[in-house]
Amino acid sequence: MTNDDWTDAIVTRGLSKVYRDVTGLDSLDLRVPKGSIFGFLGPNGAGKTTTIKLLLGLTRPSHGSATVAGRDVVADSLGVRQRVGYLAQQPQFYDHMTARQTLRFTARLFFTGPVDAIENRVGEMLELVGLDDMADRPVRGFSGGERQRLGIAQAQVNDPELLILDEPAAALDPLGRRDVLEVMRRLRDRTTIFYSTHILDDVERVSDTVAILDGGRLIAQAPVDRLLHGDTTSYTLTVHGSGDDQASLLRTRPWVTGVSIATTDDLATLTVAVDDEGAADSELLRTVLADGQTTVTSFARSRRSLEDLFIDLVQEEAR
Amino acid sequence: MSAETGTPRSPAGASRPHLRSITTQGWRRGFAPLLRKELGQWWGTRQWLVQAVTWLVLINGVVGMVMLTDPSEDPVTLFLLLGMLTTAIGVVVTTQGAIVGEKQRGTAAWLMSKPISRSSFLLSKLGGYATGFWALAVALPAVVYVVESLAITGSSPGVPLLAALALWALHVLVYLALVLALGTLFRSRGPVAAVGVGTILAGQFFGGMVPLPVVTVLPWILPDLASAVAHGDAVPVSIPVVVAANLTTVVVATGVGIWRLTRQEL
Repeated sequence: MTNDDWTDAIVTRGLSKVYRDVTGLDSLDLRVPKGSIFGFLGPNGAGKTTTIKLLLGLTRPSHGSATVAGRDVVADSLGVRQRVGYLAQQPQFYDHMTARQTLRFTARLFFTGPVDAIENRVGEMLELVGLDDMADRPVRGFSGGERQRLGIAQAQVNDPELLILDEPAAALDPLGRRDVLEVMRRLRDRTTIFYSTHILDDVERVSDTVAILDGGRLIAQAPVDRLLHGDTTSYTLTVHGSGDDQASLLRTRPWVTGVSIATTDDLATLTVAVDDEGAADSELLRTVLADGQTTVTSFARSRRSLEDLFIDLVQEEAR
Repeated sequence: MSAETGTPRSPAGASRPHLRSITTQGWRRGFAPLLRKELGQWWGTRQWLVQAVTWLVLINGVVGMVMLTDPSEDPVTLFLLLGMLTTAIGVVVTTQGAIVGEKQRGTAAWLMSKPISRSSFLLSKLGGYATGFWALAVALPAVVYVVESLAITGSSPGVPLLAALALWALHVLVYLALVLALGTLFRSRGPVAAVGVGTILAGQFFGGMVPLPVVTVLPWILPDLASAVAHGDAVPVSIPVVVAANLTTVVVATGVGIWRLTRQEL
């Protein structure tokens, strides 16, 4: 495989970082598919930023190896950084520069060419993140959200093959978060996005694949849908009465793998686990209503939240 | 769209006609834009004005006052000794945060995430700061000194002053390289400033106690040497040896700084 013939934006093999007696990252094996929006989840101190620093050559691995866009992060660090855009958790720029000067300076680190061409590129980036109307204001007066958007613009100025964002929305208000996620969606068709976060709602909204890190170790990696649904799907329905008759009836169906009942007052909530979504979608409600007596007050396919999953996995890892 | 966080409007075109990717590899990668940035920090902000006023007041102001009030005082010696001492301290004060500040703020990590070499990062600072100090703390006071000397005493030091200024410029460069190297070794400004100023003061207080062969390779000898050169006096050391030794100090300090920087987590 040549350097430019790669299918995974990031591949790590046993990547580790040890700080004296503390293991910051423990033998990470990660594969980030090209073209994905990859959420890198973990509690504080999990090793997310350490991983990003290793990928960018900001620190050296103690063991293991990693490639970014087909290039080794140690042997060809300049080649990696030529192809990557990076937004730090709290992006810092030179306060005396304006947004335009910052982007001009950044562009000159990647490109040579006529002044007009550089200015056009800078203008495109300012427009991309909606900063064109404040392009000539010094960065020192920028709000957190504006700074973050400038951070995305400078990270994208080289049309990177991989965009690495470290907690891009962590310090933002809801509007700022919305804007950053919107920019990420816009960039989906152009580049692979690898971003760390602990905001699980954002992950569900924009990611297609996630990895969960805890204590420096990878504890899960899968497409978001598969992670949330797992191998079985469950439905919840609420009926009047004890729910026993409906549960008994459902248990006779071959596609039902389990039924549990929770009662409150005169209502029973049945959680029905199935292994055939198609059969359940067409027959479950019909089965319950077949006796003509049952009143169903709610019915839905239950979806495990990423937050539940995250907490379960981290707690399981802690045990 | 909120005032603070507007919704981005239209996506940018991915095309970048006429732009060519930089393919330079190795230690020089990124040097030119980084040097432009450093020079911009000196000349594109008010820093040049602050520096210019500071040195004119500290050096030319004091020397002018002395020339007016005490005609027996040797103005060239005063100009060089005062100028070289104050600019050395000025280098430490101004440069103490050049590396440490960037590490603390996170701008160093931001820069190093781009395709630039760490040696370029340090060398651009050396080049940018040296240019600024040479122009504003050495050349400008020298020009003003010649003018005020002509105006007050009716004479000027002439060509030998140029050789003395070259030694002054070397003096600045040595302390600049030292402070930048210290910035790669420490995490805060305190130790950088302490070691830098301590080195200068040690030369003031203990320089005379150090044997001549040893002091020849240290920057401490440069002010007295510059004064002697400006007067055309005989000097007890070989000027080329002193210059070579101090240039070696600059190279070694810069090398240590680059070595340390390349092994440092940012």
